[in-house]
Amino acid sequence: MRGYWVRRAAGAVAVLLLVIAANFFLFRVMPGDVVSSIVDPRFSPEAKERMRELFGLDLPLHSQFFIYVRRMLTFDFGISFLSQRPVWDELRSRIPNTAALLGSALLLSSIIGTWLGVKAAQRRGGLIEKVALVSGSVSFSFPSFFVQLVLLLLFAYTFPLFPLRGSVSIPVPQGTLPQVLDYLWHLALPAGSLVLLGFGSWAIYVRNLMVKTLGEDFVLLARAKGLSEERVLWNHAFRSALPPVLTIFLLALPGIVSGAIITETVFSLHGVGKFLLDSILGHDYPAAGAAFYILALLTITSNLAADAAYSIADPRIRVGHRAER
Amino acid sequence: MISIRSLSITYETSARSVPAVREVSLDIPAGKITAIVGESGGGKSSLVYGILRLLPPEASFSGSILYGRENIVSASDAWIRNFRWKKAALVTQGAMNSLTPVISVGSQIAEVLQVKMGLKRQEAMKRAGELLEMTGLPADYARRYPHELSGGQKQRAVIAMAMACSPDFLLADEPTSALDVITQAEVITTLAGMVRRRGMGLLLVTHDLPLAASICDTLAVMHRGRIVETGTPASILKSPSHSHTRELLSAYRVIGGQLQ
Repeated sequence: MRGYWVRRAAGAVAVLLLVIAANFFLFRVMPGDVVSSIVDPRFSPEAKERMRELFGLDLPLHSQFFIYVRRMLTFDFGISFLSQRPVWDELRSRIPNTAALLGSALLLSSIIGTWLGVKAAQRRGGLIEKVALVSGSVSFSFPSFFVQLVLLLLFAYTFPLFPLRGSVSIPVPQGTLPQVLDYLWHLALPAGSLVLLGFGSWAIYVRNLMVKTLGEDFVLLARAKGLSEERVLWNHAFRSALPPVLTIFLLALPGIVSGAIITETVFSLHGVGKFLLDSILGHDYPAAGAAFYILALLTITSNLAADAAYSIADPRIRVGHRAER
Repeated sequence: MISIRSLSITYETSARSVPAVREVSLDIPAGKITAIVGESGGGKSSLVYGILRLLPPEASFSGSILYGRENIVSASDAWIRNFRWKKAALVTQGAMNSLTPVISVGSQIAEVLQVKMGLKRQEAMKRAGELLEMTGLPADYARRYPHELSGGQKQRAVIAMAMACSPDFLLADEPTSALDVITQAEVITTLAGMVRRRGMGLLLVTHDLPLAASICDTLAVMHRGRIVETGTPASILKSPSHSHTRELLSAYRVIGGQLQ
């Protein structure tokens, strides 16, 4: 059991190192040079050279690489080429916004979708099943930016119920409660759009799992025991169908970060996704590298967490347990 | 006593209606073992699940199933929920997928004790261990998950679960069909022994005529939804009157040699 997790953790570290290496080389084979993008073309060659020295770009590649690895592991991401501020400070001011956006969206869409999916499977052919199937196909077929732009047009422009852009009002309201409410007001439309686009696929996924599970013998036996329908549904059927749902939930975490790039751009939010996009476009190696690194860290930890969650939720795959014949 | 009177069960689909049970009348007395034998698809299982009203919504009933003065066919949902397990418990093919895979065997037994008998969690778990011991499993198997038990052990766990509320009747649907012959004999002996000791009624449904005949008091032969012959196992084995009974018997004679 412990041996397994040690091996898994070692594998995760190896993957992380590979990501760091890929990050490092990828940005250096990209066309264009940072110095050319942040300094005026009229700068003298000597001034450009001083700039390259300042950023350490004159050192041999392998020395640059070792410095890079050490810094990544200590979360010292250097100075952003574009903003001239420490990258970590830039990220730190954005992470809470992105976490709030994606966290609330994922949590809400998975809860709504799971509930719908379970109820749809319980009453085949009923209204809830139709809602689940339609919303599922909608969320698969509409591009997010389109839906988000339509929502913006409708609920921020035509009927100005929500703000058009940003994470906070300017000027910022006074007092904690007004600030929180103002923040939630700004979050409502972007998070709501992600929920709208996300819950349907959850509903379909959970419905399909549950339809299969509800046909199992143990569900019939649970009914035969005279347990209430809700107890049969949640305690026996859903609990048995839960492990793959948990896995999808945790593996969806890194996936929706890429959704954050579009959402934060459409709603002009101060978040990691927009930061990543701006950094790539501006050849800002330290910033983009750091953003990719954080994303990789999130992916690797989500994977580990998915494995752990699965083994907690499903005794059959608990590593180290042996079935007896 | 569970009295089945002119019971018909038909599955109504949009395309056609499929009769599964036709005009069956049968008494299942308390304290006795009644067996129904017949080929697969003959309506035996529909009859068992019908008694617990566990059939899918497309099944329609006519006739009656009386338990005391209550007609199960028309009883309220609340009455049925109370009837299930407290009065009549089901023993399914435990070797297959009858136990919820993600809940320990003990917790599954304890659940009925908590919900139906109002026991506290701790008492219920202790009682679950005792019930497992009664069926010949160690009490600490309560902590195991279904996949950690063999087919025969799972079948014993399912029987222990059925005994939890000391019901008046056990309804056993092919309880040993997925087991090898030696385990079959062990499990059926355990089941019959427990039922006899506690004076419970057992309805055993199986396609295995010799197995049924070896333990039952009354044997009913079911064929295409009808009960075609009823009697003591000795009389039926000696002089079967219906052609289907003779078919069932000769099938075993060919495979297993002469029956005693």
